Amino acid sequence: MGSPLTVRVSSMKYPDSTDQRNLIEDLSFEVPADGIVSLLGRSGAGKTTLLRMIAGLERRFQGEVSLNGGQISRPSRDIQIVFQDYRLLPWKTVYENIEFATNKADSEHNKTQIDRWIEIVGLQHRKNAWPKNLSGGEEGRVAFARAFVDQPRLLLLDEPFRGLDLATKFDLQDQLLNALRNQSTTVVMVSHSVEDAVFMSDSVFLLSESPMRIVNQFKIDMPRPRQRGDQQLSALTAKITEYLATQQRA
Amino acid sequence: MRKLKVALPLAILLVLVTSVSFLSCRNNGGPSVPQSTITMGTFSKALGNSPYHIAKHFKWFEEEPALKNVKITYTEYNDRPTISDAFSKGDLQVLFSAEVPSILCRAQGNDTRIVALSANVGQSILVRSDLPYKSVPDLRGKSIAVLQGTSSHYGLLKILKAFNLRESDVDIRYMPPAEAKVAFETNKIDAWAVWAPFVEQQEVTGKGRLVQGGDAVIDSVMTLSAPFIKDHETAAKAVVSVIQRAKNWIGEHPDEAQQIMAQELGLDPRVVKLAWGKHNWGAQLDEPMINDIQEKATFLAEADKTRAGKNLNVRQDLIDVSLNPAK
Amino acid sequence: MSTKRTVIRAGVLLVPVLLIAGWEIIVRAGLVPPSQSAAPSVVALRLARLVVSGELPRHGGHSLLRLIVGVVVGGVLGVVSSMYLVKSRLADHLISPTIQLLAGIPVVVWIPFWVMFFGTGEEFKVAMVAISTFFLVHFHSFVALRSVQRDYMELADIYEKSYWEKVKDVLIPSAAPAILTATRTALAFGWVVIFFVEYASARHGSEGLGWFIADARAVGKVEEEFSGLLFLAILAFMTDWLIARIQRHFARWSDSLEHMIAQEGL
Repeated sequence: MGSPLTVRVSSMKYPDSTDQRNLIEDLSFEVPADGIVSLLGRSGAGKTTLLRMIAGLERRFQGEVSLNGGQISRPSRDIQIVFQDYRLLPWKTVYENIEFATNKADSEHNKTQIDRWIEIVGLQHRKNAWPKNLSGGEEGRVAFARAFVDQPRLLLLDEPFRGLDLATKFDLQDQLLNALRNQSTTVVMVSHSVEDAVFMSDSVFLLSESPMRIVNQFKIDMPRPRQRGDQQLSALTAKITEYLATQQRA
Repeated sequence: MRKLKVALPLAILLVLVTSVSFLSCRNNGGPSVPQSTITMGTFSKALGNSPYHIAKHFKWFEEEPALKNVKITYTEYNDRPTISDAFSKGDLQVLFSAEVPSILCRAQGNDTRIVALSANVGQSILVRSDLPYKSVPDLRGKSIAVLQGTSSHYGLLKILKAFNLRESDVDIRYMPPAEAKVAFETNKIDAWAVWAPFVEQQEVTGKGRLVQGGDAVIDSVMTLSAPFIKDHETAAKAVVSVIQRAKNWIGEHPDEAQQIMAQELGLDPRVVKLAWGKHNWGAQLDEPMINDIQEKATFLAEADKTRAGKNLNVRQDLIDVSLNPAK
Repeated sequence: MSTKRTVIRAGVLLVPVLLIAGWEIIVRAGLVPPSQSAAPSVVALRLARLVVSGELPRHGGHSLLRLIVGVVVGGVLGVVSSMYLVKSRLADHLISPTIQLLAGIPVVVWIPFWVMFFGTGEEFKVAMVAISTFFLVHFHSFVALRSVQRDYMELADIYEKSYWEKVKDVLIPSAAPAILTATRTALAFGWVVIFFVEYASARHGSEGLGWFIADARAVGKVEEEFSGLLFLAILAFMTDWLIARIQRHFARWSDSLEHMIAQEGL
């Protein structure tokens, strides 16, 4: 159900106009329909900006981003983002937050979908809770449910597992994979963790900094479900980590 | 801890009571007046208080031996609650007003006595000349200005009752004379229950005319604070005798008196002349007058226009004729 | 142990009881002029009588109605105007300075203006409350709407929400706690304004607690005066309690300090 994505950015300046350098330069990649890719790089504003561009929230750049051949020029429900801070509306309950993502029309269909997704992410017992009372993991689950409920063609994730303890992180990753099993879509995930990227994705793109461009790409041809301790995954993780370390030294 | 729980509130209470009791010991009429100051005042401007104004003009109060070392302050009040407050604080010893404000103050609890009568005059209700109303029943639904707590207020209530009208059958507007004068002259109100010289001011210009006012009279009285009477009887008697002197003089020199009053109150002499003849300058605080005052007190109490519906026994509680030199 | 807690809870009443007892003692002992004072015991009885007879409720009802209409009119206008100025930069640039200037004027200055337009009737009284409410709500609402994070508005864009959906689902709920806080203040101040304009009202029987109190004072009915004031206090307390509850409800999702203060009903 996802659409193929093409990203071609020739240049983009820093959002604050004092810096005349390019934030992003000559960055291009493609993601096939229902493909899952990770953009790996150091934590910084650049990756978020890139995602925002793909989402249609940032338009001041030279280049083109298109989904299934159609240019992305403004935000729409077809492209969902899970923000780093999850960004739930504090004045809406779990149920209402997910409902907010649905289309006003056809409320019967919506109700079914909302309930379905609440069940998929396992928050039936929390559906009337306020965001302020949710744990980090629970918030993430709401963010996922919200992102999936309206059947997006592209899902963007901005470091969604950052700052979580290991158990919660693994759980949330499983939640995401489970969600994708229920409803596939094209996924672009930004991450700073090699392990996460390797575990979750079909492809990993390595990004450089100032200016940002793709310096390397690794394909991961392993079927899912994957095991976290798997030798092949560990080897690949080590290889990529080593590569990054040498880049660092250079 | 338990002791503190009891001690602390008691301590607070003690502090409250002692700090309040350090306020000067107050009684109803005000503290005893030191020999040095007396305050005299009128409630608004009224021709009925002419004896006071004449005496003041000739400085006859200052001539009295009993008042030789006394500083006399003259003032004017515009509303009754301020007068009541002044009495209670001891800021006022002698008041010249109609009988109704004095009754209301006494009913409110001020320790005051009516000791003399300056004059009396019939009640009037003014109506605008450009309006066709001839008598009070014609005023149903119309606007009538009056100052609360005055003899004119009483007169209005009395005449409404006489014609079986309720207060709500007319549109009563409470206003002091200054405000009502403007409203009357700019056609904002239809009628006005007020006293001389305000009545005559409108008659002279032709802006207003009298409507049948009924048979009520306004008694202009002199009210003294009881502590003043008690602690400074000679001074009190002196003040009363000066008023009588002024009344006598008015009777003997009517033209001069009118001239002086026009000057003192800033009035057109025609206004004073028109009002003069309506006043009885020889009126005294005699039985018929005392009856009249009692009747008013009773009426007001029954109309629930006094504190706690208090019906005064005016002979017992309000009127003191012992200072009157005529007796 | 529950008896101890009951006692501590009851301890809240200690200060009011002491104050009332003190008042009673002061009056009975003649420490204040009887002509200007009334003992709480007498006032309480008079108050009860005036409530049962319906006189105070009638006047109170009029005051309350004027107040509520004024607060609602002023509040709604304040929110709408603030929304407009938040949306249109140009309008903000042109209009805000004037509003700021007018907001600084003491409310009494508005009297001759409203009398000029409305005379001294109901509309005038309501307008006085409305104008003071308007400025309070406008400013708090403006600040709150301005500070609605761009993030939430962006989210609404992703979900392709219309402007009105954004208003309903993002702007208003986010700004609601601040708006209600301003409304609560406006209500409290509104009681003062309404008392003031009613007190000065000349029309007999125009109703309202302010008028009732002025009327009692004019003829020396001190117990009625105090009863009116007490009844006013009771009504003001009740309206404040009610709006505090509303405030708590609309801020129940919040974990920020100022919202928590609202929730505590302080």
